[in-house]
Amino acid sequence: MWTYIVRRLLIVFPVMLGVAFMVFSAMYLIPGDAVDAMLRDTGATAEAMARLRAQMGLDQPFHVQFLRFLMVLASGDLGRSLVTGRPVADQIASQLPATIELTLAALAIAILIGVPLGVVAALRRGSWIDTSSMIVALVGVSMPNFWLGLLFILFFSLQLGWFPASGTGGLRYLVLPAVTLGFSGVAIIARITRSSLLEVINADYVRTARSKGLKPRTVVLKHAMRNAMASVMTVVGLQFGALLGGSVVVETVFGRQGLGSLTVGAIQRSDLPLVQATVMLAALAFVLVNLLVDVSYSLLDPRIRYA
Amino acid sequence: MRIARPLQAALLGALLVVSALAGTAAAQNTGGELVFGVNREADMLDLHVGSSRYDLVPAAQIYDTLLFLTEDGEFLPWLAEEVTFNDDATEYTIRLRPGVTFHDGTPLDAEALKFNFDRIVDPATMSAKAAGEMGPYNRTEVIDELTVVVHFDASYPGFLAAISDWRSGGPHSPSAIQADPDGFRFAPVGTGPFRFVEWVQGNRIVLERNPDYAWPRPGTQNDGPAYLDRVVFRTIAEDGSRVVSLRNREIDGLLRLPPQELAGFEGNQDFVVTRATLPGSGVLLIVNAGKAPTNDLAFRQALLHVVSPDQISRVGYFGAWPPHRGSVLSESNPDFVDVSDMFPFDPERAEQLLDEGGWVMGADGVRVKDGNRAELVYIGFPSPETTRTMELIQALVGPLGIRIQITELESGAIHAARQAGDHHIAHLTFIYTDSHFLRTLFHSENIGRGWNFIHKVDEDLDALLEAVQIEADMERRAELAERIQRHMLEQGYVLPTVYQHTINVFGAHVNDVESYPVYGEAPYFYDTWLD
Repeated sequence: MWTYIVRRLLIVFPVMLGVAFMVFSAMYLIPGDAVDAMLRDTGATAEAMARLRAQMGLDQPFHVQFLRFLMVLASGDLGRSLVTGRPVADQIASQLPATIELTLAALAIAILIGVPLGVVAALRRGSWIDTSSMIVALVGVSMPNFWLGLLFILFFSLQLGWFPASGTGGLRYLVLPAVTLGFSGVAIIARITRSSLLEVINADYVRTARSKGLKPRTVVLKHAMRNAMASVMTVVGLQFGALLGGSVVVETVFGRQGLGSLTVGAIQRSDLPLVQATVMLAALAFVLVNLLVDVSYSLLDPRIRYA
Repeated sequence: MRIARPLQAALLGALLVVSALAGTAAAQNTGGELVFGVNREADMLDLHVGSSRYDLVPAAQIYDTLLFLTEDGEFLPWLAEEVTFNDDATEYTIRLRPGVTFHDGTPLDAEALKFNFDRIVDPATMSAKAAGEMGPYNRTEVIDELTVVVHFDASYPGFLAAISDWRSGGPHSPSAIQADPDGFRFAPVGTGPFRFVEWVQGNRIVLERNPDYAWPRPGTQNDGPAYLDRVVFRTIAEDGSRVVSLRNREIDGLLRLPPQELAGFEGNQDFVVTRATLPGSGVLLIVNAGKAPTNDLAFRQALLHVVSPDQISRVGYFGAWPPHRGSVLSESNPDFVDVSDMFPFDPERAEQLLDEGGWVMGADGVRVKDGNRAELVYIGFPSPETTRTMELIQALVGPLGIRIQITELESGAIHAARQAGDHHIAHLTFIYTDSHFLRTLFHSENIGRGWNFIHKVDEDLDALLEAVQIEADMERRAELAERIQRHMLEQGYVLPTVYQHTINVFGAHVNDVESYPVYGEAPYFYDTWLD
């Protein structure tokens, strides 16, 4: 088990290197750089732009820029924003808590609503509950975040005045963004819970449990669910990545501070070090969460052993 | 040349763009917090270094400027009591107003001003914009405690406009910068009516009243400290959320109302709308005169007769941004000339020009001359307004036998494509006050590497652009600028569309918000008070 975990952790390094290379290449290949983004509309002369580009090292060839970036990274420093000069690590540290708060709240909503919804739908298969919960799930999967967010703002904020339309602060500010972000997760988790539960609900061991006279509640929760949860956990892990990605849009729509807003701003400004760092952080979080999910399989299903 | 006029109240009255409750000048409430929603956070508030226009929104409250440029193009004394310059505009003598202090108590004196100018041009500062405004700066000589002489290597009449801008003309505290040069970017110290309190990145910038303020900008009603206790700039990037936040009173005002939202606010008693035209080019379509078919003068002039700024304003911008009446300067630029009578909307005349120019209608409805088909490529930014504009233009030129392909690219890509001359028509907006910037945009030395997207060497134009850059006599300068504006239109190098416009909205409980007459985007909260 531990060998497995250590091996998986070691794999993180080449994965992160790959991510760094891909992000760097993508940003490099996009025509225009931070100087173009900064000096657009400003009347800067070609000489001034060239001078600034040289000062930022943006006139260097690809491999030089990439190697320099790796060296900065290896020194444990994430560098400074090209545009604002703020240390990247400070910026991330200041934005991370808001994004974690949002992502965890959304994940909690997705699990706490998605799993029971899926269970009920599976147990009452074919009933109106099943049909309507799956319609909700379909809508949730199909509806883009930004659109749902705007609808929520119009209804709950403008019409009813229950929640603020924008900002970062206490619980009141968190509800709408978290529900918006968690909604698609509810949908996916409900669908997966339903289908995996249906797979096991007619299995021999469940029939055995039932015929032993166990309470239906025990049969479902202890016997069926435990086996159905493996695939649900996989989806939860994947959802975490989707939520991190979704937070980019949701934070922008709700005017929240956070990594998402930071990333969008950095991309708009072609601020390479900042884009690199935020994307790599998201990738790292995704890799680690999926490792956690893989490890949790063995806890849920004793037949699974890692070596 | 001398700039030191007594303030003329009548003239300056025109500068007060908005007064929500007219005639209540005696009843301003003191206190309260104003929350202003902005669509993009400032990059930094060290204006010597940064270049974002969004920096100026908070900065306009934190810094004052040496001179104040009025709507009529007049430079009035502010932090500078007097500015004089020699005949060839290579030496400027600036005498500072006595008694001005920075928020940290440092006096604004000749040494402080010298420090500012020297720092801007120091390569180590990595100035993105302010250094450009300093032109051929050589050095600053301290004459006495409040007087400096600024020396330039060549004639630089643009310096007056430069020191009316916060970037090069808004003194930053030398002691604060020396104490923490990098930190200053996010904890600025100026002389303005509000001082910096905190910046929660991605969320808000908070300012509070400067209790010692006693050097008001010309034309304001107030003459002591500001009325508001605090001003908070909150970032809400999404247009829809910003608008709902205002309607919900989560914020007291917002920057940059999207044009399509104007109808819901204008004439609404609960809100006050302030509008201002940004200086600079306005929204222009630059025509590539370096390749067929737009290398044909008659063809370009025909376009001018059908690309109607009035219709573009109505269709593309819901009437919210006014039609362009000039050529390459906006109405808020000092040297602006209304040239809208040169090429009135006249499709018949356009057809006649094309016929006379040898453009023959083909069987497929596209005109042809010498084997060149009247098929154009447009390159611009993706925005709903410009997309609608281009679709309108497609519809207007279609009956004349001209086709346009619309290509929308992101900012970096668009710049490369325009420099390479991939376009026939390219989108361009540029913010500048002084006419010397026209050289950066339209001189042939900037083809292929700078901002000249006309891609044609025009020696007459080059000569005019070189002359306007160094002409120190204001009247002769204005004449040169007028010749440039007319020439650009006569030659069909540009298709003006609308002025770049900023519409800000406030709740009706917010009184006396001013816009800067020239840097129109930034509201100015010095006179502002809350019900």
